[in-house]
Amino acid sequence: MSYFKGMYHRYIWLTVTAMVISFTSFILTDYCILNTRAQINQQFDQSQQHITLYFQHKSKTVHFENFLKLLSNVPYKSLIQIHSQVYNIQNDPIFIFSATPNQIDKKMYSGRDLHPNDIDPYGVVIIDHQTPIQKREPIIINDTVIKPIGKAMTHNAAHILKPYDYSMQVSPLTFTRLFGKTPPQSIIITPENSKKSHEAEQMIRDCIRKFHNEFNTHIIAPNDVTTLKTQTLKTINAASFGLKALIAILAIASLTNLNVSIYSQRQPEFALRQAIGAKPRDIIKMLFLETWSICLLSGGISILISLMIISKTNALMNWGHGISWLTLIKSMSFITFVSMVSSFLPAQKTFTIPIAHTLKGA
Amino acid sequence: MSLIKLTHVSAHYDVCILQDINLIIEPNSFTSITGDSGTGKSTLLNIIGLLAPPCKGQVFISHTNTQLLCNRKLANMRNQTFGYIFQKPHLISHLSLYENIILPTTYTPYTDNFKDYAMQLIEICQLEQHLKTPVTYLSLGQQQRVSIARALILKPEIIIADEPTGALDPNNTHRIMRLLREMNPTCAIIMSTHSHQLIAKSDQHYQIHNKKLVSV
Repeated sequence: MSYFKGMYHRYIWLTVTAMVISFTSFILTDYCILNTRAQINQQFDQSQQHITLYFQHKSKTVHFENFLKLLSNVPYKSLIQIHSQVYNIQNDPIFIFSATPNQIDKKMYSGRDLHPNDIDPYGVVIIDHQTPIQKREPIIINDTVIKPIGKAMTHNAAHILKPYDYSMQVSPLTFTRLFGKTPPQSIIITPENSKKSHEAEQMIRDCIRKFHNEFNTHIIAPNDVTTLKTQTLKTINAASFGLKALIAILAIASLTNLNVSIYSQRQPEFALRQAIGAKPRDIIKMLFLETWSICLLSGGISILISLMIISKTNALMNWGHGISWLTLIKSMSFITFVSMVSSFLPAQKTFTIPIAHTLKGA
Repeated sequence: MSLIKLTHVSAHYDVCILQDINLIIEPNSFTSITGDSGTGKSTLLNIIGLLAPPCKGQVFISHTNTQLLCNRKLANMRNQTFGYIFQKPHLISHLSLYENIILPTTYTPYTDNFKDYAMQLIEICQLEQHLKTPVTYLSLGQQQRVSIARALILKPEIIIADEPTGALDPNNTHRIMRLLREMNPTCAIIMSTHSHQLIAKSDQHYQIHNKKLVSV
């Protein structure tokens, strides 16, 4: 290609550098967006299966019995429940959270030492509920011995837990001291099926309304998750589009600047080409091919650089997506678009070259 | 039968350059045009060669009124009918000698193999030892020979030569004229020149005087 020969090389390498930065930014933006979107989808897809109730305690001790009693009417398939059975650890009341077997899965403990690793994804500790309270051995968490005092559970809690074999225990106050992390701040409820989701949500909202003096709450239901997901993805798409548009503008401006600059130097050449039979279409084609070759060269370099950055980032961030075919197709389209737009303005000028005058003055 | 016919052609930029020019060029003729500097020789050649339109009048090439042709057809006619030799060689510096010579073939619809003819032209122009030399390193005479080879590559019917020997010594002038005649003996040559040697060889000699074309 004539661009790579002779007097234009200074402009070429400057422009190739600018193009490489643009195309690499484009590919990396696409890569980041792809991974962010995948992560958001994953998170939201999980959240969409539950109704999540976030709460913040207003007082040091919160009695959930009545609240849970109301919640027990919710048509849930599984529920991390809270009741007020008191274990006495250095006079700090703790709250015991209960859950269904399908949530507990295989994480079952019976009076054995608990380890922070025994915390399930919701941040709760699981103990065996089948063992009668009198026979249950003290629970030792990080060298702190927890002895059961009184009954295993209150009447209400027993009522709620009746169908279940196990319970999970969490102390909002002690949990932090024991495990060095904050206790769960949410209850995740999985409705029996999607049809009952709305009904469950409504009932939970009613419960919350009655207990608004004891804790601040807000609820995120599947519909809210869907809305939030849509909004988040829209925001990300808009940001991605904006960023890509900015990159495109910079790339086009850079390349157009080069083309215009080269055009003024090559005007006698274009005039000569027209004098010996080139049509404006031929000049446009030539300019486009030359610009495209620059873009392709830059694109190739950009893909190599991007691959290196992506392999490092994937290892660092534990992301799963690399350069996909779609990204490559998008990049090629982007490259072609930039080439076409940036060669358009100089090519337009070739229509109006006064051949004789230009050759005379050259 | 006329190859080129100009009827009542006028041209002016800021001032009137040519006025009411009528000219007929026959095929296989050598026409020389003379005149003082700035009298409009190049303008007339540009009009004949379809490089600039006349302000008034009509230009017929092979009985085709060129004013009625679209840009694409004009480009085709410039490519297939004309060969241009300018005062300066106008070579494209980033193309090789060979690429410069075959440049017009890029825009032609013919599918002939021009390589052999190009090599023949290079040999006749005595440029074969400079095939790998960048064209900017060639002497002016050599560059002008390259531009002549470029003008002849498509075997045009008409050669437009605008003072092609203006910057050359008599030896090179003689050599270039011989080339033009030898390589394409059937074409019509229209040349603006100040060289008496060339004028003497021409079949028709016109002079531009007082914006008019006068047969000498």
